[in-house]
Amino acid sequence: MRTWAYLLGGLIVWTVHFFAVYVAASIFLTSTTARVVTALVTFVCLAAATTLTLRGWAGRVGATDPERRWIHTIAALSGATAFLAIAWQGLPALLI
Amino acid sequence: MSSETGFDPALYERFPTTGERPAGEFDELNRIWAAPTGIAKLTAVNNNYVGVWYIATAFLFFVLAGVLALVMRAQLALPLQGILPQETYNQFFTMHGTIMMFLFAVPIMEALGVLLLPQMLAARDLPFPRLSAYAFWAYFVGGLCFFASIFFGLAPNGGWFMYPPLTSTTYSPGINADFWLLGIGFIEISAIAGAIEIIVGVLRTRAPGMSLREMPIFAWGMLVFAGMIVIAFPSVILATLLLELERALNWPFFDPTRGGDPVLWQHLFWFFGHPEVYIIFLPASALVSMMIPALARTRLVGHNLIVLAFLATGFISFGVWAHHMFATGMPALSVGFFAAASMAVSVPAGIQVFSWIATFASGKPVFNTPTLFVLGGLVTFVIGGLTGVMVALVPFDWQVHDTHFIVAHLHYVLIGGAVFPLFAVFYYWMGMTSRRPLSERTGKWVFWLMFVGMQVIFLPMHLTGLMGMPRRVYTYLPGRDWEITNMISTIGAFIFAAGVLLFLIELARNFRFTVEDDAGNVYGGGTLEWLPTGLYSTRSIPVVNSRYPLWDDPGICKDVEEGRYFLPNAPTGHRETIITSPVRAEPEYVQIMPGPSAWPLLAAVFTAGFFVILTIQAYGVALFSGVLAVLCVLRWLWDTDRPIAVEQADVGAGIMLPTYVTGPRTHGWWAMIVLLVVIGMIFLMAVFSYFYLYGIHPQFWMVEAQGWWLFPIVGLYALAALLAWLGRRLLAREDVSEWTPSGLLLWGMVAAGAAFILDLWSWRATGLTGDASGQGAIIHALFTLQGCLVFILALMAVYLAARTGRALIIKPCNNTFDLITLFTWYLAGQGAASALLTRLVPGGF
Repeated sequence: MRTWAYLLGGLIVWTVHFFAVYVAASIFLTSTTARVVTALVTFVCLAAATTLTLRGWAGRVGATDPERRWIHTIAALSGATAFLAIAWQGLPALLI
Repeated sequence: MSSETGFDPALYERFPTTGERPAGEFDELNRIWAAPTGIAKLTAVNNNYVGVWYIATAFLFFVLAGVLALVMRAQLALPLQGILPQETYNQFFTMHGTIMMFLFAVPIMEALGVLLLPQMLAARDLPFPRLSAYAFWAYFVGGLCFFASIFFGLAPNGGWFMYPPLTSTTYSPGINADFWLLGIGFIEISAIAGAIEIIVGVLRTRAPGMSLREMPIFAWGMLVFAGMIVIAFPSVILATLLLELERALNWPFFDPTRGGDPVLWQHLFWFFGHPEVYIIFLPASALVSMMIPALARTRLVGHNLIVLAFLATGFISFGVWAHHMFATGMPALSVGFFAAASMAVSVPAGIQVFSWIATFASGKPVFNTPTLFVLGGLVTFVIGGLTGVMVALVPFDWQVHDTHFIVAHLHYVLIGGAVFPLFAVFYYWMGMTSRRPLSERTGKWVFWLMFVGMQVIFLPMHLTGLMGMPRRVYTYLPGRDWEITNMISTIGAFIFAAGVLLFLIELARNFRFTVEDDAGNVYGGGTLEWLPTGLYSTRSIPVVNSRYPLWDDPGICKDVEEGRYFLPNAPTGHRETIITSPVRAEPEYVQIMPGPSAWPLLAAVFTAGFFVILTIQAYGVALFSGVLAVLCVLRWLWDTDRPIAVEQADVGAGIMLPTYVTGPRTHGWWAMIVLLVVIGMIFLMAVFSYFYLYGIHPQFWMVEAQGWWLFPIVGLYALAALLAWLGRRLLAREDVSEWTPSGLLLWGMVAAGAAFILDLWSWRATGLTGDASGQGAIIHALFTLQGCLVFILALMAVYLAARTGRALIIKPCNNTFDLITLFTWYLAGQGAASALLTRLVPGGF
């Protein structure tokens, strides 16, 4: 289970971010509070995605076992994808 | 190399073995895996049979729904046509959409999984072959009954997404809507049964050494597909349950005048409905990714990126459901979030498209029929994807919402993303199940007719929509400039149909089902499904250390066929396969597999009967059918979970594996966990509905139950969980009597039942009824869900007592006991969470 959590870590962070900003917008509607909450959640989730990406990349470089190396690669890609998706997902709070 | 389970990977080097195999073992393997003959063939559970039946049935529904579409196009060819009356037209478009989505697209993907996965993974079969058979027969019988409703004018008529209030009893008083709500019940069961089979199959029955890194891309696609079904389908299960409860018992979930809200339906439906598109697309795209390397004669470019794209789609597609609801007046910021996610989800699809283009570009493609279908699908899907990004933009969506533009968009996506790839699949893999491959010459005609027909239908339909023609209208007035584009679309529909008709003729000419003497690897694929196979799948199960084993090891076919790898025989004398670990696919134990049985077939018939008969409100007969279904399932289970005399089996090269394992390592445990995730998701969506209705109409939430009831209710649930745990612990001890562990578990069940009754009674004592308000309705819905679990637990109690009485609950551990314990724990958790929720939100102590 830990392997799967690591492999999907970035996408799990994206999920947490998405539903957090959805709940914030549902409760606080289109308000400054919702924007602030969105910004905070986005910042925290971006940090988490960055961490996962860097960890995955470092693991990939250091791994000798091809399976571990592959898992680190997917984890790093998952984190990087999540970083972009979270940044994109947070933008409406600045624009609307 | 490190290990996941303690298995020494150096043991792989013993393969392929050398020396002569014992005489007669191959005949024995054939005898054990032989299919029944005559009418008994219907009891076959082998994936070669069930998979082909499944695909054939799904294709039949494709043709039937296509015929409905043709009649609709004829009706719309000219203004004020009288081919279809309004009501019949409503039933036609509802059935067309429902059948295509529920009876064709999802089932055919599961069917392909059932047929292809064991071969690709070199497993003897998927881990629960009887479950596959049950899923197929429930779908087959129920689907045909459901379709037959159209001949009686009773087919659903509210559109495939069945929005209330149109589908409420006020505006749909007949039983047409019930046919949809109950009629797809068996499809939901079938889909989830298939998903459990696929998840456990992909993760636990791969050939030794086939780690996640080496896993075929189709297995990845099916894994994500099944995971998405597990997360998405519970939402529509809950939605259909709520709407049926509203219609049958007047519980106002969707009635805003009494604290319900029709938009709740849209949330629940589309949380399923949009991922549904990707549920259909992902397996199809995975199949494309399997075919392209063979068609382009090179390896897939960006394999890892495609895996990432699958995973990303599996997540991000759950963040786009509300883009179907831009016109409902959601908060602007929410709309912005959903628009952003809707644009983002196109990125993983784009990764796949670029990967396919790069593979074609780097290889030497041959423009045969599968290649044409793949390329035609790619072009069509990209156009659909681009219009998808257009409708992700909110202002544009408002303009084209519910117009023919949307009809064109969704058909481009689904036909390009799934139908054309499926036809490529038919041509590419036909050699695996047929004595003769399909004709290339005819195939090109089929392709061009379908491809041209598709563009002629739907390209002008964008214009029809932009000119303002709404979808789901049975006719239109002359003089609105819609005549020309509609006529062109209708002509295109008949061209498309000609292509499908030609394909049917081609099937009649060349498709000859076989397992033994198939046409083989016509297109030169490099993956394991092209190993020589029989009903036992492959003669021996190879060690896999490549994504294209047939290309990288030219001797593998011969070695496999000569039994030089794992399980070259049947060491236990039963049907069996190797269960491997989920990440590195290290051998863990030998699973004894069930053989042909009439019970899954009968259980399926009665399950489908229960839902269908319920629709026509013959409640007594429906109940009888339901009871028979349960009895058949119990009888089917009765023969399972029995250790065999051979405790350790030699699976080849002197490697010994156990034949009976319990606990979290087992495939049964995994299946139960997946099932509990499904049930948990249904509960989670009910909790969402609870908060949603409270958030929308708090003024209807007037009743509060006394908070102190929580102590006995939660206490009893905790006691139930504790007793179940204690029973499992005691089972491992020699000095307790046979009944004690089962007795504890049974007492735990009694405690759970008491907690449920207490919870329900304390709420009923407040005077709250299901029809009183949105609050009453949703609280009673939570009780309905919990009541279902308690009922199942009661059945389990009877079953456990019977097995204990027959000394079938063996020490020190037992799978039946484990799984019932798991279920009891879950039930206790959900019951306690439900009691806490309804008493603490919004009231509190």
